[in-house]
Amino acid sequence: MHRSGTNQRITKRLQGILTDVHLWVLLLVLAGGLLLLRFVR
Amino acid sequence: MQTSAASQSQAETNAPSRARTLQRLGILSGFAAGAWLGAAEAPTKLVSIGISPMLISLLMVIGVFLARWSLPALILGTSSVRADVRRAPHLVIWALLAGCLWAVANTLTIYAIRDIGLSIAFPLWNSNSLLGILWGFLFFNELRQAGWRRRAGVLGGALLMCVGATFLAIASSGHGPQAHSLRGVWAALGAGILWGTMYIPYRKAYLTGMNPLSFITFFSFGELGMMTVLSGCFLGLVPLWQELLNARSVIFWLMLGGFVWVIGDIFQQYAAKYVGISRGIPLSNSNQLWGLLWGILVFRELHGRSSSIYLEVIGGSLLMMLGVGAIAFSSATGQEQTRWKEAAIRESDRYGVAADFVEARMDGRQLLGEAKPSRTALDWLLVFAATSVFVIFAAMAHVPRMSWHWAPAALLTAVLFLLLIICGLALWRTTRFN
Repeated sequence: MHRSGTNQRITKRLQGILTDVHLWVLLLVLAGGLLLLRFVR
Repeated sequence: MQTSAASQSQAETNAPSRARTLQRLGILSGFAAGAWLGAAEAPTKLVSIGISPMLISLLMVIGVFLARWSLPALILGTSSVRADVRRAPHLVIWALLAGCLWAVANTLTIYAIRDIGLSIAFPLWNSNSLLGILWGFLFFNELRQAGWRRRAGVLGGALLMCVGATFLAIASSGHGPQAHSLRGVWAALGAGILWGTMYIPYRKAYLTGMNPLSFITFFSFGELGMMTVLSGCFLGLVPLWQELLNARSVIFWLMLGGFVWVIGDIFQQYAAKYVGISRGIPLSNSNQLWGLLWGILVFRELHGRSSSIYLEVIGGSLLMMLGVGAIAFSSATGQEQTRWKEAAIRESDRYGVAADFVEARMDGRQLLGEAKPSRTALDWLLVFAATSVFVIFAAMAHVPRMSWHWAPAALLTAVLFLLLIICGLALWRTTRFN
């Protein structure tokens, strides 16, 4: 019972992260920054 | 029960004055952040004595890592960090991502300084404040229902700061190295975009109730991890080790730069928490003025230049100060703060964080019945270990062979400590660093 509640909380938070538009904005900008770093070094 | 209801009712009665106090505190934190972040750029001048930009960034990040574990341990104790993580564990991921963004941006700034010089690169990456305003408006309801006067104050202030920064850049152009100017401009603009976007996780963390001191602790893993990967990939492990050995006499100065940066960043985090990113970022971007003071007074960057250059510098600085003033006097109204709360409720619903915890932390107070943070032996061990590392590298350090002046450096350092004491005391008295 307790484990099932914990699993549900973890699933809800994971879903929250993956469906959060902020995450994709951050990943896109980070990938762009890494590409730029290759170009300017 | 009655006591709890009475204290809640008293808190509601005092809510407007508490909100005003927190706004003032956020603005003061923004000013202190500017001074400390500006001072932290001084060690990056070591790039001019031939140290690899990647190595400078890595060593600064190591200093940052040490500071980010030891300062929170010293101020509140790691028990408060653990308690925060139990309440909002998802924020660890956001903190790691923010740390990665910081590491890439910091490395880009050092390449920018190498290619176009500090005085041109600085205003370019400080354009991050405009992006911060955009993200704050789009994602966190900042400047919504703020009224045209406050919107104009924030936007106009940020634009004034950009114009002032451009003046400073024009005044100092031709002074820095110009070998790869376009590449340097891209690097500085890229750093601005990364840093402007890094404030999204900051604001998410504070809207969900995390303490800035807890957030920066996990942030440091992201930045050290990303920086280690970057240095390993770009330099190779053996050459990296060789460069570290060659640079051992300046490791201390670079780590100290990282340490100073963390103090500025802690104030910046409190500014982001209490006045939002649309106001907090431009205020802490006054670091350019401080960077300029260090450049002109300590490193004599404009020595021997014509009086018209000095006039441009003074004009640019005055514009920047006007912009800072306009933002500082455009604090959020009650209606705008209600919109902030809506964004906070959206975040706490999405991640299942208790609403009363989020509300208490947005007011800079603890929950009723919440255990007060305390320091343990582990905290003192962390402080001792970090101090020892600094002492060991200080013993190896030599003053770098570059032209700089002690007296203005001592004066600027005294001002830094004065701001640290004033702002630190204000934060302690009002929020106990919550």
